[in-house]
Amino acid sequence: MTRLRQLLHRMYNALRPARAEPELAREVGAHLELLEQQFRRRGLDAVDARNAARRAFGSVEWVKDAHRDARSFIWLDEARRDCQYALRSLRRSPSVSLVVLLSFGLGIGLNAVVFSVLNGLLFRPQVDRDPGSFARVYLELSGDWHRDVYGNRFMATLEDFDTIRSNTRTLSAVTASRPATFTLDGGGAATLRGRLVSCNYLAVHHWPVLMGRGFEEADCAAPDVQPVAVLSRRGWATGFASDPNIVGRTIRLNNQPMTIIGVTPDTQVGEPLLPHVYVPYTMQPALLGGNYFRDSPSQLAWLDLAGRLKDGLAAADAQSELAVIMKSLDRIYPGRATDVVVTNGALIRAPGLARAGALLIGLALGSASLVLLLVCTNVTGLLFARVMRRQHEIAVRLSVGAGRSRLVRQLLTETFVLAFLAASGSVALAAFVAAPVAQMLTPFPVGAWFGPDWRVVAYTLAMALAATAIGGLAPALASPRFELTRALKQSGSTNGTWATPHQRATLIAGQVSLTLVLLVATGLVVRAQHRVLSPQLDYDPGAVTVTAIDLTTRGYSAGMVRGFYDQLLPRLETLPGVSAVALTSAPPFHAPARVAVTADDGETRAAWGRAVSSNYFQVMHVPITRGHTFPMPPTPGSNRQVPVVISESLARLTSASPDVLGRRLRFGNGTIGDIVGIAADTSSVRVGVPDGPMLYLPAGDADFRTGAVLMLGSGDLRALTRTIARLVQDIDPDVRTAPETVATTITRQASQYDAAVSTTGLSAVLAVVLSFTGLYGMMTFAAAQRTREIGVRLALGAQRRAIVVLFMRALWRPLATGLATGLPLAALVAIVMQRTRVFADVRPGEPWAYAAAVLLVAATTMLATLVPAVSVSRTAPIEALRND
Amino acid sequence: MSGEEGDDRVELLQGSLDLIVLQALVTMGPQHAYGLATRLEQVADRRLTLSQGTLHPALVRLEQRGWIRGRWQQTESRREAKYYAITRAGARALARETAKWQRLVGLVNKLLLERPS
Repeated sequence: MTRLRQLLHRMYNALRPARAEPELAREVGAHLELLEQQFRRRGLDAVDARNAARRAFGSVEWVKDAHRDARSFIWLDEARRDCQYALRSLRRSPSVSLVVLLSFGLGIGLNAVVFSVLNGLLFRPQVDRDPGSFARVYLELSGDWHRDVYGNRFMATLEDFDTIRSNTRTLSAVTASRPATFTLDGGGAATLRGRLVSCNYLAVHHWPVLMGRGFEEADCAAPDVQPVAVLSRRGWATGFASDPNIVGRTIRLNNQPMTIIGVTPDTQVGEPLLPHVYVPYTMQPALLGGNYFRDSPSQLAWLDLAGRLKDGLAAADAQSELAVIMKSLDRIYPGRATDVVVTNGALIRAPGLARAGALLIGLALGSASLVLLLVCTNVTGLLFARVMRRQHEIAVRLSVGAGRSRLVRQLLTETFVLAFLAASGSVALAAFVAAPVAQMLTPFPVGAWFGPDWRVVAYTLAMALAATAIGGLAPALASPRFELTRALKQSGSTNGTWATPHQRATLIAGQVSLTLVLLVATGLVVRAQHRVLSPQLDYDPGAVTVTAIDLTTRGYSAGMVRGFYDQLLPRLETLPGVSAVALTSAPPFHAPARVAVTADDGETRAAWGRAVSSNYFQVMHVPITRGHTFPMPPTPGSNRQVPVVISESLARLTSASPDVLGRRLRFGNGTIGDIVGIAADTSSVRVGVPDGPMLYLPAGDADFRTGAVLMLGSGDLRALTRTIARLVQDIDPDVRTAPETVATTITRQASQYDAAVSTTGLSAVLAVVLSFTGLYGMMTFAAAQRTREIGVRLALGAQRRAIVVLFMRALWRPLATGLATGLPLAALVAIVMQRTRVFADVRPGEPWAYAAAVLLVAATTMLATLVPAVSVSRTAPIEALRND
Repeated sequence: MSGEEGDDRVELLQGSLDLIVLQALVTMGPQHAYGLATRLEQVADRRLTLSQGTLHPALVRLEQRGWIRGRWQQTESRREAKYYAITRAGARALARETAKWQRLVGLVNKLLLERPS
């Protein structure tokens, strides 16, 4: 209590010294007066009495200092006075202050916005209510055990869910869900983002119901018994124009009648995107086709798990308990092993995302901090100039006994005050801008909150501190090194300690290398996009039409899927101008399934598994180098044995001898493939990248719930795509397609580079502008400093050209240093970019990108030096000398 | 150690000034800084090295802890000075701190007077 009281007093006194100082002065005065009186009573005269009183009292200044120290925190008090002093001196040079403030604002603002977006998407737990007790559960299967995964590999099976739910003691509730897309029929049919959920889902997430009711356990009692749905507020608004009588209405989702029972607020569900509609997970068979409840509930992973921790428990407690529960379940299935990861719901902690997330963060924040670093070098130049101009004032302060460290601290405080103002503005800016920026990255409604939380504030503040240190430290340290007498005498115009060629060279080299890195990165990304746009293909991408078809939301049985294509394909084949029609399980330049292929030698290798009809090879111009394609019509072989065609690279992988025809492969869940043909290697998965091992399976046996129809045609393709869409709708009006040519697919894929091109491009443009203006300012200042010397040179008969050469010659060394450090740095950045999945097309070894960047940087640097050098060489010698 | 030989003046140990001030306020009643300083010099019989100004930081420290309270008053010679009085919390603290001091002194004495056996 006493300590706290004292602490509060001290804080108060540190921040509000106005009251304590006069009080102390008054008290000390009274004390001295009483002492003096005593000495006079002893017979001393007035002057002697006063001196004796002072001696007995001791140093008044010391007492005041000790008093200050006792009543407040000396450092806090000094910091406060430094801030006041800083504000005063910033007001004295408003233009420099403003430029520094704006520069900091640009650099720190960019960082704050980028960080806010990353924070909202990755760092924050994606839950709105009571995030402290939220737990997201990821299961990862390893070991020799087959499991089908409908979704991502961290999902749980029904058996996992039931086992965890009935055994856990660390979680108070466990809930399962999975994302799904639904087609809403009737009234302007639309696609809704949905979620299949266990019936405790809304309760576990602590959501209120705006209208009607939420789910009850009875809604999830058995598969397909309760066709009910709950809308989110956004779904209610998008699909139903916020109809006030929505509760009780029956709608059709994926052709299945569902009754709306309630509406909930838009709340976060563990991912950044918002769903429109929630349905009981027991409605899966009717809505998605197949029956996950009946078909091997222990082998089919399709559920995301989440829950609430019991009071006082942490995610780690739940993780170790669930690991034990899963281990006991693993014992039933020999060879199976399950890893459990429990997180707080932040995406960055999700297994499998951590690495990609870290790279994304590194790249985004990396380029933003490079811009800030450039800003700092500019600020350094400006501050050096200002310290120069103030050397007289600084010298005066030094000569009256100001400590040098105190002086450095004061100058740093001035820089920090500006950085802090810029940081405050940046946080405010980010609060408004981050959400729209994030929304630009995806077509779906983003529900994540991008406002400034403690992470954003801490990061921005750290940036401000870093900017202060990087931008302000060197000028502040240089300030007390003035030669006092000279500085005092000269009243500071031409003598500067900062502008040593060495310091200037370091700044220039730094700017050159940073700008170079950003320019090379931009060049490589632009080249990557260009490469994606113009791939080397054996066919004309403008002549092949792709129609991606998604029947998963139609609730079709396997027979109905076959019936759909049996109707569609003949109609397409008879269209005028169409020369061939083929079916494939994944459209060109979309990833097909991955399959594990086991050859005779028992070795298992991963390959792409593309199910195709036999004229796929004709439409896509894939030459069959040996053997033949699938028999036509396909033999309705047994489920266990099918003819397959393999790519040459898969053939090389599985066998040393070229004669692999007739051999067998095992793949998937024990299916045996008879190799009937070998196809040339092509590029069909990723634009510009060879596919590698590819296994072609006959279309007849595959599930084409998702697939694509390919057509080779000529003539008016735009009219053709309209005809295709109409033909598809004739068969099922609720199947929506967007036919396009492969050329369009390629353009669309290239557009994923737009964001990268614009961000790195913007950073690079900023970098060039910043380094040009920074260097230009620095050189103008340096030239002004040397006016007198140049005047003398000119007066002694130096050529104007020689003056310019003088300046340019000083540039070579820093330029070369900058390029020499920047080039390896740029190559390193390029290699890191290539390693990320997003920038996989980037090739670090593109000489043109480096050459162009070097030329641009060199040209900018030389121009920024040339202009001030020429202008100073034009000054008349007499004027230059009078200047002093 | 710092003084010359034969000089029997001592410097105060850390924290003991606070105790002495509190005790003086108990025995003398409310006092201003000058009065306290004079009193200390008398009692210590000039064996104390103490600038009178040293009292001020101690006084503000004690006031902030709530152990003494200061009030501006007229002195007998009709000048104004800040008079400090001990508070109830101060009296409790004095008792507590004095006991602690005695224990410390007793212990130090015992250790210093120990003879080789």
